[in-house]
Amino acid sequence: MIRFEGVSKSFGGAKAVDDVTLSVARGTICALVGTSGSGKSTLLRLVNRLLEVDAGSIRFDGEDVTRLAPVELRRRVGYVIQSVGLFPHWTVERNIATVPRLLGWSSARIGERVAELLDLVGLPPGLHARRYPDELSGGQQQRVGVARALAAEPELLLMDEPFGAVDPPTRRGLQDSLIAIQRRTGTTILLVTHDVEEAIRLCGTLAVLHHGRLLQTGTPASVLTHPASDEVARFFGGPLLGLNRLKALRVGDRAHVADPPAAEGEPIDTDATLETALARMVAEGRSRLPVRHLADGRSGVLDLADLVRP
Amino acid sequence: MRAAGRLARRPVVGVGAVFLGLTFGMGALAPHLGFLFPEGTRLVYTRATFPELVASHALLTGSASLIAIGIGLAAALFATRPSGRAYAATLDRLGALAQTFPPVAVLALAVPSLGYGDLPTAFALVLYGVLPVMGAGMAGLRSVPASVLEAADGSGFSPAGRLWRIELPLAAPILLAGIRTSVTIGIGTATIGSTVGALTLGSPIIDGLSGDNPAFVLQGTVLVALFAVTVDLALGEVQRALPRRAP
Repeated sequence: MIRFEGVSKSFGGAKAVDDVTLSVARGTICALVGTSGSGKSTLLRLVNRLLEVDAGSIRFDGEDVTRLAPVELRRRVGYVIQSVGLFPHWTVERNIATVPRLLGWSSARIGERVAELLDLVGLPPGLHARRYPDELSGGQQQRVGVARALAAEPELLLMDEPFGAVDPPTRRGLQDSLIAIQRRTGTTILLVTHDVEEAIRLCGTLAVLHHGRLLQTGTPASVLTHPASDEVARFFGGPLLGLNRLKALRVGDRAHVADPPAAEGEPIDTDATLETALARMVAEGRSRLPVRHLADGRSGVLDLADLVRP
Repeated sequence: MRAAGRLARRPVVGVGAVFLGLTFGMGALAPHLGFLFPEGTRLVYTRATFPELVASHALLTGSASLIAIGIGLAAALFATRPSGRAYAATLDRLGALAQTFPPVAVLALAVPSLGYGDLPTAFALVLYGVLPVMGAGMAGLRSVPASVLEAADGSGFSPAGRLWRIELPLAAPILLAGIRTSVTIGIGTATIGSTVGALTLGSPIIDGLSGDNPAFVLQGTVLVALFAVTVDLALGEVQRALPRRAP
């Protein structure tokens, strides 16, 4: 879907992005993670040509982005930023209709699409369509921001720390909505975040950047289990890396077939995280939990020792 | 109907009515004002009728204001585009500097090259009118939040589309305040044009001052003041009518 090939970008002599090669597969969510100044936002903005590459190339659906007119390209790619940037003089529905209007859709089609999107992001159209951005909470504004970015059914959605400015419970709600939306639409998402938990929760692939260089790519489980360098380990918690690893691994990865007698207590699902399993063990004072739906249909168990198994 | 009723109660309607009434009634009213002035004062201004003076004054300030708004807005747009951003500080400073010249000095300097009459007056009015428009235009365009501009670019607006649909509507309240200042100042300043031969409401004032005739001075002053207040209130109504929600 997107292929970065030896991409570099400097600002006044300082390399913000340094020879990055990375592929994002269609229909997946990829997180660009790293500390401030790692070049992750710069890399994102090179895709829709808000910035231009100095060296290397970016291919979008096989086409070099520099061969596409910036305005046409941006109408095909959704863009969500932390500060949302809703147009304050337009109602919610007009904001969402931005790109369809630029593309010249009929008003009937736009009206249908706006109602559909408000539903998709969890804002009842009857309540919100005619409100203005300053009448919405921060979380609602970002829901509208996501709806606006998805309005013209883009194949690719770029998100720059989209949920960084909202409080943690709201952020969880928005993340859950995004996961559900992505499952329904199959949109490819490239997401910048410095929130380790968000990256692990949302993304199938992590790309870890440090001082503009790509240090490691892989699934959250593989990156957290085998960090390629000290920088990567430090970013994912340093001494607390192990706790974050429990967020990236699932019960199904570690459970094993039960030797009778089976464990007592409420069974845990195989797709629950090991973090949840550990939390239950601590809360319930057990070192063994029964597991539901082990792959071969038999019941299983998870021991505390399974969590620390390398 | 209700809207019309609400409009009728706005101050602009009352002040405007008094202004128009005095414009057309001054000729009839003036002969009866003798009690206000020393014995023997000529009460009726004869060089031109007051409707003629108002029309000439309005034409002069109106055309100068249109030119000033055009230039000021163009300068503000230029200074806020990527290509002109380097000149923004210069334009800011130029604006501040030009406002320190007194209008009479500008007129005196303009007369040798432009001659007497409307032309040097219009020149001075344009020079003075540009600055508030330019300043307000720059302030208004800069007041649009960076996040809004980034979202507009990211959505795929063309530069012209972004300017027209996003930036100008959001800058409009501040810009219009600048235009209001510019036009109101222009109406007052135009009176000075009569010192170099332009026909304005300043003509009875200047003639009255040089001919020791307080009646003419009063008539011109009252009308020009009412003119300025009427236009100011009218532009205030336009500001109120703008769509809500500035950033």
